[in-house]
Order: sequence, then structure tokens, then C-alpha cells
Amino acid sequence: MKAILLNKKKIYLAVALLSSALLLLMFSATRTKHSSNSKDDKLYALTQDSKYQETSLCDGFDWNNLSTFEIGNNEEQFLKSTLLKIAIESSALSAKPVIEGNAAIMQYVAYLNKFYQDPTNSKIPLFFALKIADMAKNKSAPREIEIYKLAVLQKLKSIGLVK
Amino acid sequence: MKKALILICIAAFTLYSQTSYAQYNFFNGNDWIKINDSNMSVADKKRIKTMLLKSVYEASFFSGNPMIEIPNYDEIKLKEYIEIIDNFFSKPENKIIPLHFTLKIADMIKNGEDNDAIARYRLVVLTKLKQKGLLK
Repeated sequence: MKAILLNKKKIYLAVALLSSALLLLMFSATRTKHSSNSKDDKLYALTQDSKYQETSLCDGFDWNNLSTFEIGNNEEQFLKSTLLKIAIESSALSAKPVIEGNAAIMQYVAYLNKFYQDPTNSKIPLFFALKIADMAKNKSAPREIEIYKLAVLQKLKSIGLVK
Repeated sequence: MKKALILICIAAFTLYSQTSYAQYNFFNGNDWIKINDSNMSVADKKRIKTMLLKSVYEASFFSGNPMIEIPNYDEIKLKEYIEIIDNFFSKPENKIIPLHFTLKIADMIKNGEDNDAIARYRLVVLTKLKQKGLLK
């Protein structure tokens, strides 16, 4: 009899836990959907700011500017890989490595060439673009990358590093 | 038998990690000097050097440990370091120092710190990198 009662108690507890988990899931899904939409709007607003002036950060403008130098394509790609190598080294020597993956550096260069072709990404500093490239290489969801991008832009804007 | 196998594995791993560290080449004075030797225009060389310094500064800044303090982060200030770094790397004994630490040294020179303090910092950097097996 006691065992049956105990089992019943366990079943009730499990049902209660399951239903609260379900409720929590539903609640967070609604919140995510809502915040995603507003985040989209904010990202759009940030990237559509009035005519952007070149910033003092090493970003997409610098990256794309390298193609205007009087150098060959191989040298250009080499310089780009050097910029990345330095960012990787400096972050590692600062005890906070920017990348976790171990893809070849030229793979990151190829990703960033494509990434910075999109004018809405030009404001993203190279350091964070590299982080994004690493997220993509590590198969992060595009949605996650977008949210990260937005957070970076918002933060930089709030501290005045991006206009 | 099992113990021997474990010992061999540990030894192999240690050897491998030491070898891969020793093979790492930081961007240092030798690479910096190569920019001077290239066929690019003086203006382009300066632009590239500025980009490299921006990359160092930003990576250390965004990693939470900025190598130098620049109030209201300003690219123009970084350009001031180019000549100092050119001079620093023109001495063969300094070419081994990674650009990351050279920016800090350039800042010390710019701020007029005494030569002893700069030499001490340089020595600490080299010793630490050698201890970690990152420099030969």
C-alpha cells in the first residue's frame, strides 16, 4: 500500500515537473520570437545609419581597402591572413583566444572576404568578424550569429566606438 | 605493460606539444621589416602598418587586456607609434619580439620611460615566452 502511494507521489511530481517545463518552454519561445523581431529591427536601424564615415577600427573598410593597394592578389590575401594572425596572436597572448576552431587561416580569409562584401557588415571590427567566422566554421546557427552581430554593434555603439 | 604504454603516450604527447610550440612564428620584427622591403608606396606601407597596429590594439582591447591606453580610441595616435616601432625593429636584437609586446614597448618609449624599465620589460617578455616554449 505504502509503495503504491509512494509511486503515485512520484507520478504526480513527474507530471507537475513536466507541465511546468512545458509552460516555461512555451513562455521562452514567445519571448524569443518577440525579442528576435525587435532585434532584427534594431540591427537594420544600426546598419542603415546615415552615410558611414570610416572608423578608427580595423574593420570591413580596411579589409576591402586592401584591394585598392597596388599589390597582386596573392600579396593581398597574404596581408589579410597577417591581419588575422596578429589578431589571433594578440588575443591568445591576452589570455582570451578569439577563435576556438583549428581551421586553416586561409579559410577564415575566404569567409571574411565574403562576409565583408556585404555592406551591412563593414562596421564589424575584424576581431569580432573573426569570432563570427569561427562560429560559422564551428557550425553555429545563422540565427545565433545574427544575434551575436547585433549585440556587438549595439555594445560598440553604446561605448562610442561605432557611430 | 600498461604502465609502459601510458608513459610512452605521455612522452609522445609532451614531445609533440614542445615541437609544435617551437614551430610557432609570431609576427615580429622580421615580418615588420619585410613591409619596408616591399614595392608598395610609402603611403600604402604606412596604411598597412597602421592596420597591423589596429589589429594588435583591438585584439588586446577586446580581449580585456589592452596593451596601451588610448583615451577615446584614436587611429591617429596609433600612427605615432609607427616610427618608434621602425626604429626599435631596426636593431637586430629586437626583431625577435612579437608585435603584440612591441606596441607596449613603443608606448613606454613614447611616454619617455627610462631605458632600464624598457630593457626589463623586454627581458621579462622574452623569458616568459621562452619558458612557455613559444620562443626558441
